[in-house]
Amino acid sequence: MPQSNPINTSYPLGFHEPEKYFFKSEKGLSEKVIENISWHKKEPEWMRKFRLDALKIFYSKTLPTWGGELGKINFNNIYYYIKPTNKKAVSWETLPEEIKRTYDRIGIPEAEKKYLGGVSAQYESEVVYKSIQKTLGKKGVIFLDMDSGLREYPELVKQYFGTLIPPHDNKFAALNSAAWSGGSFIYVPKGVRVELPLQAYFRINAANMGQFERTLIIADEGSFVHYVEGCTAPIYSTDSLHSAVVEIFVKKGARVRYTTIQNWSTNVYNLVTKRMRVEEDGVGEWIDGNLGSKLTMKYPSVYLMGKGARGEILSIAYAGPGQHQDAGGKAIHFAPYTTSKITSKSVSVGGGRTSYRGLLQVFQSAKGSKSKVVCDALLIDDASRSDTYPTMDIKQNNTQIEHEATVSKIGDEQLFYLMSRGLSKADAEAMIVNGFIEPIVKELPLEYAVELNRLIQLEMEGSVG
Amino acid sequence: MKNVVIVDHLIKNQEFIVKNSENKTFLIFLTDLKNQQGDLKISIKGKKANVQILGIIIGSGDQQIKLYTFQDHKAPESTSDLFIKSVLFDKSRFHYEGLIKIEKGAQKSNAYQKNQNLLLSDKAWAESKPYLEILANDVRCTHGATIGQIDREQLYYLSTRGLTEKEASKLLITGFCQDILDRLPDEKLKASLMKKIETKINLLLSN
Repeated sequence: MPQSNPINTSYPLGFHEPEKYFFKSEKGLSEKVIENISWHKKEPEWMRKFRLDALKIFYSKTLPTWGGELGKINFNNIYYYIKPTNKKAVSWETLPEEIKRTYDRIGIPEAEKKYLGGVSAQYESEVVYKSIQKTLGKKGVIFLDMDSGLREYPELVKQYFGTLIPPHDNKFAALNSAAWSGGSFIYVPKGVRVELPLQAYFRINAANMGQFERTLIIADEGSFVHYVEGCTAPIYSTDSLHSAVVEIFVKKGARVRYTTIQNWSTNVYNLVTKRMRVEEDGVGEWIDGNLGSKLTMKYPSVYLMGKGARGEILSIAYAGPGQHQDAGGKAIHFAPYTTSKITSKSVSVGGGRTSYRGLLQVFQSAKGSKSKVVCDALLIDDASRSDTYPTMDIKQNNTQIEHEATVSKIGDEQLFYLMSRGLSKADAEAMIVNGFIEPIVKELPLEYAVELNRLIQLEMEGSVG
Repeated sequence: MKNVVIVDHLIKNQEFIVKNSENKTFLIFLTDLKNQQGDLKISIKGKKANVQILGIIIGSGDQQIKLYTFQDHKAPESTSDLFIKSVLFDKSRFHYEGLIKIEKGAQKSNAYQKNQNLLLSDKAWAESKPYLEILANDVRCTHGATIGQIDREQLYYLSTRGLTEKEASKLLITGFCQDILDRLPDEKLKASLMKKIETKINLLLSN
């Protein structure tokens, strides 16, 4: 995919977004660009310095030599900060038929369709957001975009920001630290349970699908929150590089579940660092679905720091033609009696490649820990590829560690059986794939689960022609 | 024995080629006190070949063992089955990295990989990286790895039958290794290797 001009480039589907912006930084990365972003957002001095330091770290770090092919990213051909207008981007009529059809088939609501297609710059959720804000406010829950969070709660942000994923963690964390914009800021006070999943698109006052999103969630002792980002419908983006950082602090006895469904268009590099720090008896859960993008490299991790802490990672990857999903999870046991479970399901079709990459580390301080990793891969045709790259590093003998993985194809008998009952080949394959990923889909909020199943059905139709 | 190859020390770039319909067993058997590092590559270039790769590793002292295995399936309809166990005493460390690669033309291949590690001291380390790279779809591949200590319940059960802790441990460790030896096609070889293992375990447990 040519990456010549990520802003003006036409979509693979021939869909353009006109350039109408309040403010746009100059192309490429420089101290001046970063200073400009910080100035434009009227940030405190420490954040300006944080960004500039991160930029130096970004320059000093090399690209990872493992994982996907990153050599084609041109960091100087990217606009690092664009403040979007509130005007309509394009009209519904000009959207290509294929996109509209996808939206229809998945069955998403009209207002959401327009938002996703870039027709309305903001999802019409103002009313919903306001009423949610009111209920949350009563409980003392803070739910803002990251820029507003920094403005309104500078002390709280300063205490946590960049402490779990420091800029020197990796090259892309450094890039995000320098150029971040948007993302969510959530604080849940002690003992408060947020029953409704908080969804990124409830927020109306910020572009939430930014290139360099930065999310910070703090769940205080004994609290609970479920955060949902992304959506199953394809997101058409002109930006060729998305690099988010998500830091989550789970305090004693708290529980946080973070659900992501990523479906970027297939011109996007999606390189994300996500980490949760779980204290005593806390529970951290990642549900991570990767369907879109050209290349995704994302390994949500749980750092089990307190006695009895628990981490769970569920990952689905779906790679179609030209796609590489390099995804997985990491569980690191620092404290005694901690437990973790990683379940990964991947599907490769039409020449797509999925790789599971994971780390399981048990330090000597983590007596009595238990962990289980299960990876299953499904290869639909002989052009596709599946890899499994787990690492287990165990420095404590009083542990129970298990890893297992299988790679297989759709069974001929299964297909034959379903087709003998009158299903077409595509329907039968879709049914089998949906059954394969079911253990993870059932953990998703209902509307996401329904959309995901329909999307897979649609993709499978295309794959067998 | 023509069909069993015993690898009792590790070297760099060790490669064996397996041809059409060959039936071969490789046994990695490392029970002495040396530090060891090396790789074992099995290139399956023939159809309908059947390969077993077995391993017993007993580490002790501050011994370090680094083992890389590579099951490279280049031809269709072949099977490779790897099963490696380590028993780690004292401050010994075992790094294992194993790759199964099924190349594009190697349809209808079956490949398995299993690595089990028993840590007998709180200073022993094990690192396991069982990798898969699958480029053909009509295949069956699985891998699994476990790391843990002697099952407390099994020890308890044996002690209720009157065994001392040392006797019970010995029984459980040799049983853990027996699992591998049982897959050897040669009874004589099996018995002589078991003897070696028993002597070694006896020595290590009485330290």
